Amino acid sequence: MSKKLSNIVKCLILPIAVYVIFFVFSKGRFGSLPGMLAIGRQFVLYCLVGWALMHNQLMGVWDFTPGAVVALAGIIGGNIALSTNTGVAGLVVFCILSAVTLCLLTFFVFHFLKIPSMICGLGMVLIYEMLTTQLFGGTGVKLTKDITLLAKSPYCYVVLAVAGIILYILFNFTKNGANTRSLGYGQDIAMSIGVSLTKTRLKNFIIEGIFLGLAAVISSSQRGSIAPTLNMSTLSLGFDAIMGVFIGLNLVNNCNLVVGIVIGTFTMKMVSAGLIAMGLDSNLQSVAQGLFLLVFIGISSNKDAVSKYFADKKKSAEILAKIKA
Amino acid sequence: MKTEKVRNFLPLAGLLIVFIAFAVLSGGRNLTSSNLQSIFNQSFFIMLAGICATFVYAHGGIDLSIGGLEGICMLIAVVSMRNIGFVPALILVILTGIVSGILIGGISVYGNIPVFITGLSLQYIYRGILKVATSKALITVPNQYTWLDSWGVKAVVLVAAAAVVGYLFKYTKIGRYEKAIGGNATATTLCGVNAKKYSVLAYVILGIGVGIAGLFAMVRAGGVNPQAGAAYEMDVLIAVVLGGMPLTGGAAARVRCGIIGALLIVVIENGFVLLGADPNLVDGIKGIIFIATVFVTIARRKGQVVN
Amino acid sequence: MSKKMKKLMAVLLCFAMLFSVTSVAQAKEDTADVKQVSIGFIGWGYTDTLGAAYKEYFDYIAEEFGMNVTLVAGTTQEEHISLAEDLIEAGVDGILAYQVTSPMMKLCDEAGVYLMQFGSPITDEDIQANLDGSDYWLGTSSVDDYKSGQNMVEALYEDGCRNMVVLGVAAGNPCHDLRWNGIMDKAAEYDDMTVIGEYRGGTAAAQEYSDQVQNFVAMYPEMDSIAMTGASSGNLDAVLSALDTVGMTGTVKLATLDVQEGTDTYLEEGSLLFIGGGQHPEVIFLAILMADIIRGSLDMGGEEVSLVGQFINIVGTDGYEEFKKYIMDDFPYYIEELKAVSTSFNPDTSYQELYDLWNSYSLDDVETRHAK
Repeated sequence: MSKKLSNIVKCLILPIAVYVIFFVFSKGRFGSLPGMLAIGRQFVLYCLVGWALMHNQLMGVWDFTPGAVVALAGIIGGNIALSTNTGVAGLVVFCILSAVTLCLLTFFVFHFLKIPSMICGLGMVLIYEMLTTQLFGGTGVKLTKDITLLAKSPYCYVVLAVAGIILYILFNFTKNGANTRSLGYGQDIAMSIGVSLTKTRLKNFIIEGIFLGLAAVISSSQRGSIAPTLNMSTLSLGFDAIMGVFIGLNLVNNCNLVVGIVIGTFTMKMVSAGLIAMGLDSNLQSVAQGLFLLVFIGISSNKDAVSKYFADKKKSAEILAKIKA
Repeated sequence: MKTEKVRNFLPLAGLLIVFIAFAVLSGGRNLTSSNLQSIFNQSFFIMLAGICATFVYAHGGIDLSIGGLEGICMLIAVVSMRNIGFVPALILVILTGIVSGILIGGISVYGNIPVFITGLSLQYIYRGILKVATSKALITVPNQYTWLDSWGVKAVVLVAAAAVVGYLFKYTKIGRYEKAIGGNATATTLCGVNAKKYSVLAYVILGIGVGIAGLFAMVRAGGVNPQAGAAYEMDVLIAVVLGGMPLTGGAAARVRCGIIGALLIVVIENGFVLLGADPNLVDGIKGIIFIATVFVTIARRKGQVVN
Repeated sequence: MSKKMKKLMAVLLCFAMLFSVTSVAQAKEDTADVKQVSIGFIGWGYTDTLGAAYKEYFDYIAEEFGMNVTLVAGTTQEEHISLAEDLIEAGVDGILAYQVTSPMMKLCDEAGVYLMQFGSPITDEDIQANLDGSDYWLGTSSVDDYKSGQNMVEALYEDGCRNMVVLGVAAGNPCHDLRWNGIMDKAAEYDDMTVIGEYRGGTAAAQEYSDQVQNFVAMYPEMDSIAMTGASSGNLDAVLSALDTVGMTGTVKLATLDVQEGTDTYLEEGSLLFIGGGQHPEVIFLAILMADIIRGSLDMGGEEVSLVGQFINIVGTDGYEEFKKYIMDDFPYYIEELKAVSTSFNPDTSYQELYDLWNSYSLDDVETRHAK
């Protein structure tokens, strides 16, 4: 089997295995075309958020703000789009502009004040969530049906495809992508050979803002509205997306990270839908999701060690056989 | 050296400034003995976990499962205290903490899984189990155990925990090795230290602290419901960082970080209630205070890159 | 960043910190003719429909009734105890909480602060026993969330729905738990009705509901209805948008609680069959009672307060216009009406009159009193 084919198989083993398991255990409820399309529509949002986090995550920057940025950018962008009557285009533009502004603010606080990203993220989440209760009278945003087009298929897939192509190019064929990878794998060395940490981080936060802006468009269009929110309840969107990123990182030996995140996020959404199809109690669903993540990441982090163990065992058996002979 | 002494004092200075600010704004309401007792009672749980978390943060780790663990320990504690008594309950929560510490430490360290993911996964699992066990009805604690909620008992427990952890951290190889692992894990391993074993041990110590905190939290709350322990891991994380703990670990880690940070969080929350602050604004202002405090107090070397 | 810049940033941040803290400090002056009473209110938050309505109503009556109401919010029992402690230190005379526990009662006893629960009655026997022994326990008010859960299912069943999905918030919120139990118990009463699936959301419930509704529709084609315990915080829009995305508007019927803006559109489309709400005056009555008792103008004679109110239900398009006019865009009870049943302002009135005024709450009742 060629290496390329082998890599493709290794990447697809996980989603296929998840599909088969849930198809069997749900007695066929899971896995129909409408079901997979529903999963597809849902995964667009989480994939966009995962992509948004990708660059920073590679550089060891933990950003907890995606959920809060999506909520606040959706509220700001949505309200401006409605008041200026600019339709879907206006929603996209204003959400992206809002999200980029918020991400730049986070960047400024994190980079120039030199506050650890986790703490910076938590502090900014509190501030952004507070702003959702204060801006536009604290009523959030309620979108009219005519501008929620991008929630529906095939439009959401068009958004995803365009965003994916742009990200693939940015990550693999631009200087910033190379700088991100070099800073991610060896920060000190990269900086000592002249890679600018400030410029790279700045660009990555802008990229993050663009993708979170798109995520805000999708989220607000899917839900029809975004309500004000407090108590760090927006953290969960980021955590769900991070899981997809981690799965993607584990597949990075077999495929590009951009593609890996797609696979990881889609798989997580399949798990969520599969548990529903099995009729599992909703309390047990979170147990199952936690177990799945542990098992998958455990297997994928240790597959080389396992292969080596069996290879060594085989080799030692061969040597013993030779000695006896 | 002088700069380092000043830097070490900054988190405490931050706490004093915030406390004095609220004292001025509230007309001295936060200075009453009953309010000080309240502050202590409220911060006890975060302080206890923060103290025990010193080893974890010293080696550069993090545990996001302690909210779920606290909930599970609260559940175990209330069921045990209803049926078999306080001492067995205490033993069981400590054992639960140990098992959880071995799980998260073992899975992360020996299973090569990022500890962030392990913690998050275990959090989901613990919360699910808690919800299954408590979704039907509130489970309440019998009245005879309310003596555990007194500040005197908690003070004794806290002082004992601080003394034990402080001693282990400063005078035994456990503490030295944890700081060394946080400073440079590779070099520490090459020096012959079993870094994996000590990493797991750090999570076990944290687990024990959370277990005991869970028992006291259950008594304070009067029982356990599906929301028990929610957001506890974030409170502890924020507390230790506000207290000056470097998230990357190393020699700058101190036991007092958890204590100062926990008091700071509670002083702020207490102050806002005394002032009658708009609840929709409180979180945002807390965020500003966190960022400002960390900016002023966190130790940074010249040219250091902060992630 | 240079040292000078760092010092400047530190000073600026400190000022930002202090300024933001001072800006939220609220001073209340004694403007009413009665003794000022300070009440602490422990809710779950003030961004959802009901919480925001509570806040708005308190702002409306507080000054007129000589009340200083401090609103605080918490989700866990541990937080509630801490908030109760802080409120007591802030000098409140009474506390209204949505989840009273024995330790909270003990705190109030020691501090001489009155305590009441809103939203649901006390269901735990151990807690009730502890409350009964206290001089500072005043009682509860509830709006029969359990019955409302049942009403939702009844409305769906009468419309011909037989395969229902149930959506709720995470367990632990007493009101939503009662609604959930009401839904499940009522569904079990019907032999030909099945709960084909359930989902209890986390902190990002709206997005989760949007996702899971699509999953349910795809995997359970027999699904014809959804009963949802709470529509606020964007949940209503999320579920109905999801149904619209999969082309199920009008086919899958929704029953829920917490009426909000835009409900009429959904009612006209036919996707929303039943919605209840308008229960927010409950806490006002409780606060007025508490203030009367604190001032000594009302003596319950050891009897526990037990206010019972109801949701206002809207089925189909009937009633929404009036609901919006009299309940959403106005206050269901005006200052004068409330003062008439408060012994602090009308010594000739009684607890029974206040009880009857709240117990008779309905859309017809409000229309009669406020006809425009």
